[in-house]
Amino acid sequence: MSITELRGKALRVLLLLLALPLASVAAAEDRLDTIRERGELSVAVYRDFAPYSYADADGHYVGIDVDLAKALAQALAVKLDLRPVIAGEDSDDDLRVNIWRGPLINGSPSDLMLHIGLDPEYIKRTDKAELFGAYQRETVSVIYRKQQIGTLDTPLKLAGQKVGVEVDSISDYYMSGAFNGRLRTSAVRLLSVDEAVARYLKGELDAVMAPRGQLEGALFRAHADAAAVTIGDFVGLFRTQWDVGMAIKAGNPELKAALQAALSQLRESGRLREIYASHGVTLQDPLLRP
Amino acid sequence: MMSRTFKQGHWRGTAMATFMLASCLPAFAGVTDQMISNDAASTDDVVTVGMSQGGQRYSPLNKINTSTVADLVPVWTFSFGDEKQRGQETQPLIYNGKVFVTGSYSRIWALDAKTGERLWAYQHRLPDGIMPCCDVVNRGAALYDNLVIFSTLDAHLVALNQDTGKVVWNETLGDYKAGYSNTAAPLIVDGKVITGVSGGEFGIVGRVDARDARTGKLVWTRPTVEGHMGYLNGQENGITGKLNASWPGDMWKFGGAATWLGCTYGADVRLIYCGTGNPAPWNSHLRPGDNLYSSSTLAITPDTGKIAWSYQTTPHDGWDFDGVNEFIPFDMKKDGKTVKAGAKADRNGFFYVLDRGNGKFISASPFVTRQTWTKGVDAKTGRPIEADTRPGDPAQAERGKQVFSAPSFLGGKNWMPMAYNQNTGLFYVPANEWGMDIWNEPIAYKKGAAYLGAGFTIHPLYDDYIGALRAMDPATGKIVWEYKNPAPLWGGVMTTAGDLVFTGTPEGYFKAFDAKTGKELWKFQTGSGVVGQPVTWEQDGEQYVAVASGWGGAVPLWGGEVAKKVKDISQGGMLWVFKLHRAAAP
Repeated sequence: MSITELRGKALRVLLLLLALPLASVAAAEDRLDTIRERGELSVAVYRDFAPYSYADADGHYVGIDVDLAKALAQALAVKLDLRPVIAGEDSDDDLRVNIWRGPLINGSPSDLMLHIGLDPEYIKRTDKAELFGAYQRETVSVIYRKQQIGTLDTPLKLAGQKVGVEVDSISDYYMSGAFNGRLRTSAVRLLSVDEAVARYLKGELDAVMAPRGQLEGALFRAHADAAAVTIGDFVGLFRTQWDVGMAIKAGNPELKAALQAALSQLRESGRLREIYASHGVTLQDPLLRP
Repeated sequence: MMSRTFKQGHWRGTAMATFMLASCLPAFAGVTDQMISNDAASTDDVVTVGMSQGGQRYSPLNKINTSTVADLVPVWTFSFGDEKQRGQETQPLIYNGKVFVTGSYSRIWALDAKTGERLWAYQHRLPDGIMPCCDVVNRGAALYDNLVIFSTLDAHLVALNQDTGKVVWNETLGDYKAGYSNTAAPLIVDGKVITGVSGGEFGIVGRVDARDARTGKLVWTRPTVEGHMGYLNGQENGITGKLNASWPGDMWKFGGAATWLGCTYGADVRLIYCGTGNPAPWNSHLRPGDNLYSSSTLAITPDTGKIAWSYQTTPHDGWDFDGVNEFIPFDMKKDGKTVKAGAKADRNGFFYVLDRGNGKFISASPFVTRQTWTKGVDAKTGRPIEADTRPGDPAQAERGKQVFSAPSFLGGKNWMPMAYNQNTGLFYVPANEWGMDIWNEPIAYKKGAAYLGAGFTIHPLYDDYIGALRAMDPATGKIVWEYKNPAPLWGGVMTTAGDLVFTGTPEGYFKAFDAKTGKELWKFQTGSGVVGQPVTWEQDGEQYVAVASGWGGAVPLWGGEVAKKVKDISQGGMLWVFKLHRAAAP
């Protein structure tokens, strides 16, 4: 930190109050007007984040969130300006960089960002971005070799196995911290869920722990069956399920209403479920209202 | 004049060129290793960030002194221009009639040292989507031969021709998409350019690289986390430390320990000293063990890139203290003997003195008023005695137990370098008095998934000041004097044989203090916060002083009560150059 730069680095910090000048209060014009004027909706999605948003073999961005972004732009009758972005250390960073302040280097804030984790408390805490439009529920899951591990009725059965996790994810946290660290040395930390699933399919790992959508998507793309999947309440994990939704800059009620209407239509028409199915992922309905 | 001749192409033939080179510009031979070794003593140039390889930031010049400093006036200024007015943490370099100065957003300029006129500008083309953790700063360049070398926010190391600003070589230090960046000034040792890396919290492993300064070709690389392989001339050169000695499982693979503040050099013992950052992940309960070599000073041999010794200031760091601070070699007079020592004022609040040859612990003295995390350092083992205040216990995750900890994660001292005065024998440490509330934050998300983060609020410890410039006697560990500043200090310090100490304040003042007493003798309002590193040199028989002004760095990013103290500071981006006023001829 450089952090301090903290380099680099620094801990994840709640930016409770930024010293940067906030946009003027008198936001007379709703962002929806400028989107319509421009004829374009800019949507930030995470880079390298299969099956939601990732580059295919030809370098084109594809995935569930990409399809959803296209459908939302279509519903607003504008073109899509898709912006794959590098994930920050947590979604507070992502909202600052992509929604309400903009990047420090080049570029401008996007109209919309997809795949933001939601719960009532987080929505309340986040005041510079409006979080809404829950479209999916996500659950921490494990794929594993049943013949080797047996039925995974307790996570302690993972002790002594090679369990792939994405480094610095909730699964990594669980393997490192639960049961006073008894699973700590069973974790094989990798840069992505995709890498973990690929190594699992090659027989190098005994299990992979990750959000279910990512596991299902990775297996689908590899044309592989799930062996055994368990979804679950992992003892000692502070949260195993959460909703996923979207974010826009606070203070744009018309844009919010238009996106909510578009999302409802996509859900009711079955289009949303089709999108998920086309990427091999079961759509689990969110608990929060859109 | 030379450059104009080149441009117009008026000469004919080698003989003419040789004649001109020999007669007009003897310095054209370029910056040599000897000039770099001798930077502290040679007063007509500043060819190294730190004003010497050891980084003492001490000048033997004394025309500007306690009696004359009141006459210090601006000579010229240079605006870094455009809208990119962020933190200016740079140190100018002065050589061959030119001033080389870097700025925010990976920019660098060459200026005429007499007039401040811009000779050339280079703006590194930064890709979209870089996420620098703290600010878009740069901390200065290195000179070698006819090159000026600096690192960029997208983790490149770029060498430019000193006369033209044209790129001679451009090497990648890391993948910016994976979170690598670099802002520190490179160090030149024996024709090699030494760099660290900076980057985000995860996925990064700290490293020290040595490249051929003329070509950029990698000579050796030394990872800073145990278990990782080092390389010399493309061949394996032994792993760092011992696998799994101080890290559980495979956590060493992503162990952090970024070398984001670069290195210093002890020429007499031929060791490069590099500080390392905190280990990852932030929650120390997940990674039992010392987590070597995070939060440490490493002494590395310049020829082979092997670790000669290490000293860990915060074993099993759970407070994000880092150990990146500069280790400055100096000769300590104690009990009638001279000790070959080195000193480091750590983020964790201790001022350490070690034997610079073997890393042996000599002393650790607090340079801040409060350290909740420790009861002191065990003189026998050199290890801190931990107080029972370690934050982040996962068992407390849902309950959100809050721990107050001082210093805060921004440190008793952050990046800003201290200075050592060979006359007074004192170190001048830019310190800050603040603590933090820290708690597990279960309501956090990362890439759309639930995540256990950390919540922080920084609190000043005192109502009337945060910053404190402190004169430390390294032999006794006593604070000899202090200057208190309302806002946190974030700029470098310089000291001179004129018994002066220079530093800047976020309030915009560039100040000079009496090195013996701490009395403030001079100040100048630069128009924006000063977080740069001052230098001094002699030109045409007069002593000059320069510092960059431009508020930024990490402080404005954090909220709470600290933000209130700095919220009204104007942005800027300016180099200020001063000398003593001279009355017009009668």
